Amino acid sequence: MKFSMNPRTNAPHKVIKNLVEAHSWLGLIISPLLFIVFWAGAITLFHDEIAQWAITPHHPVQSSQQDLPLGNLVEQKMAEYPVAEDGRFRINMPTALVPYYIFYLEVVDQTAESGRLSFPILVDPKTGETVAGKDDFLLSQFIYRLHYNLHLPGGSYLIGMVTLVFLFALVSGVFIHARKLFKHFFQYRVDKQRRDHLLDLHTVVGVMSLPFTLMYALSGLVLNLAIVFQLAFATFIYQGDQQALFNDAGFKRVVEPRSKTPMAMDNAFTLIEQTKQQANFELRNVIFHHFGAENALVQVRGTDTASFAQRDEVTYRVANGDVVDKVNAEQYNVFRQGRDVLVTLHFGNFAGMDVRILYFILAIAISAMIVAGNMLWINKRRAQRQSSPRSIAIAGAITIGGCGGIIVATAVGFLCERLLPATLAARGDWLIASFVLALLATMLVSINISNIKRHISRLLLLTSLLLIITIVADWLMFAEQIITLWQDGFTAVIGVQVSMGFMAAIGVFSALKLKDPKPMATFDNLSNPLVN
Amino acid sequence: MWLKSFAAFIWGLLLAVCLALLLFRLLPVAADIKLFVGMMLGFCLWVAVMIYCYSRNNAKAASVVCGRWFAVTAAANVLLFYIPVY
Repeated sequence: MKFSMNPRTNAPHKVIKNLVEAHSWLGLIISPLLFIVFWAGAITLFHDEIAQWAITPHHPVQSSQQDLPLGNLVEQKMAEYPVAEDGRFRINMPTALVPYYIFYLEVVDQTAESGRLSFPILVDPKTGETVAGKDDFLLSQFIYRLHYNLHLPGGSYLIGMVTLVFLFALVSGVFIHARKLFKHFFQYRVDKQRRDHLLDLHTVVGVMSLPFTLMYALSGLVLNLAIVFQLAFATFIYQGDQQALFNDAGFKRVVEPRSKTPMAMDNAFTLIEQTKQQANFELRNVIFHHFGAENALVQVRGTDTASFAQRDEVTYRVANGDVVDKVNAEQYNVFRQGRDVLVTLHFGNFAGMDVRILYFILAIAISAMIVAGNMLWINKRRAQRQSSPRSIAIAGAITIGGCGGIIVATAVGFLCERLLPATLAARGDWLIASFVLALLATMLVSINISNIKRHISRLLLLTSLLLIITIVADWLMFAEQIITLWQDGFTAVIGVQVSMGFMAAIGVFSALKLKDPKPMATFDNLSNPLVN
Repeated sequence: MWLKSFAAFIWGLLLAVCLALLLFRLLPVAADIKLFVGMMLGFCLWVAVMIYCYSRNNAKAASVVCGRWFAVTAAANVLLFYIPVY
């Protein structure tokens, strides 16, 4: 039997036309999720600053006091909580931005299915007091989770698929604009009589940010969808032996059973202190394996401050101080090192605040590019008489309600993080509920909007108002603490306030511009083809 | 477009995995390098195949070409499966 459609004998393939169709169709489908990824990613660049803004006014740390020895704190927490000692637990060190230890404990809980419960807590290094549960002040972590898994089970794979389509959109965009990529590189037509501002915005941002977006797409795939190749390699190369694969990839795991002979852990803390004294070593966290047993191990993990994206890790056998494993600039695994480079580039935490601000501007510009792309699709469909008004209405509601809703909901999140009492039970759940309600409410009021410019203007004004209320609430509730924190060098609290004020000012400015009667690129007055 | 999307996704996945596995078998370098190169190239190949599929006029035209490539790479993988690599 012969194929009825031989690709060689058919009409020639309309490569660019087909790619334009796929680019706009797939772009529209992924746009709400991609907008969330970039919007939440932009805010996540300042994760630790937001955490400091949220927590430290409630629980200031006395900088003048000496830190308690880590060994004492661990002993104290072991006595305080029914910690499951078998297995492993991690402690993150205090940093200049988040000045608390984070103990990732596992406690025995018979009501849980596995008999144990994850119990991460923040501990004051000066007093040893448990300040809060790690997820009590959830805002920064919630926005981060939105960025990589939408705070949904299995969400990271969904975001991985969105990232794959995003990479496709980038590459297809290059094909579509290949001929004009260099010729029109600096072209942004500001002539107000022209009607293609949206197309120019979409193209210019897309082209200018291409190296950045390619890096983000590839590193995002490595972070969220590496499971695909992990499974393939484990099945077909390593014949089911996952541990062999992990070892080759530089993720060695301790598989010893716990010894029944108990042992004092003092030497572990001496080893941590010794490692801390190494040149160019910045301690990030420690991991204990089989804490309190004769075969206990301690993994001391830090960063080599003299190199780019270089982890510096050593695993000791606590009983005799033997080095079990070591990773540093001389001894590294290419897979893990390559992954670390991508992750460092992804998070932009390698060259101070300047790079993060640049990343933030780029991420916001890409969010605008996504919205502009959707508007182009809608305008094109509106110009075609046979297009279904229903599909146009849905796309409009998703674009304005979904994207606008995320912006409003983020401002609601900031306000709730400040106003909810620190001792409120399930505080994090209340914050999530407020965020989701604000998002849904904005989506509902964005259905069948007749004047889109006026609607966007109102959403921007609402967001600005919420941010200003948050700043006012900050000072009404914590004026004294904020001033003390500033004097103690915790400048991120006021830094976040300044950023909120700046965003509010941009929101008001943009809202006023949208009310401007001069012609602007909107749904109502645009009908351009996608390719010019 | 749905059919074309299905073809692009599936053929992209299958070809990317097959070629990444082949690369792992054939590259004469350490396992950690092969894993990293395999994964990065795998994602790039996945998107390259998607681009190819979407650039065709229909899903069938894309599937015919991708199916042939898949047959070749899968056969090579089956042959190499019996050669131990670690």
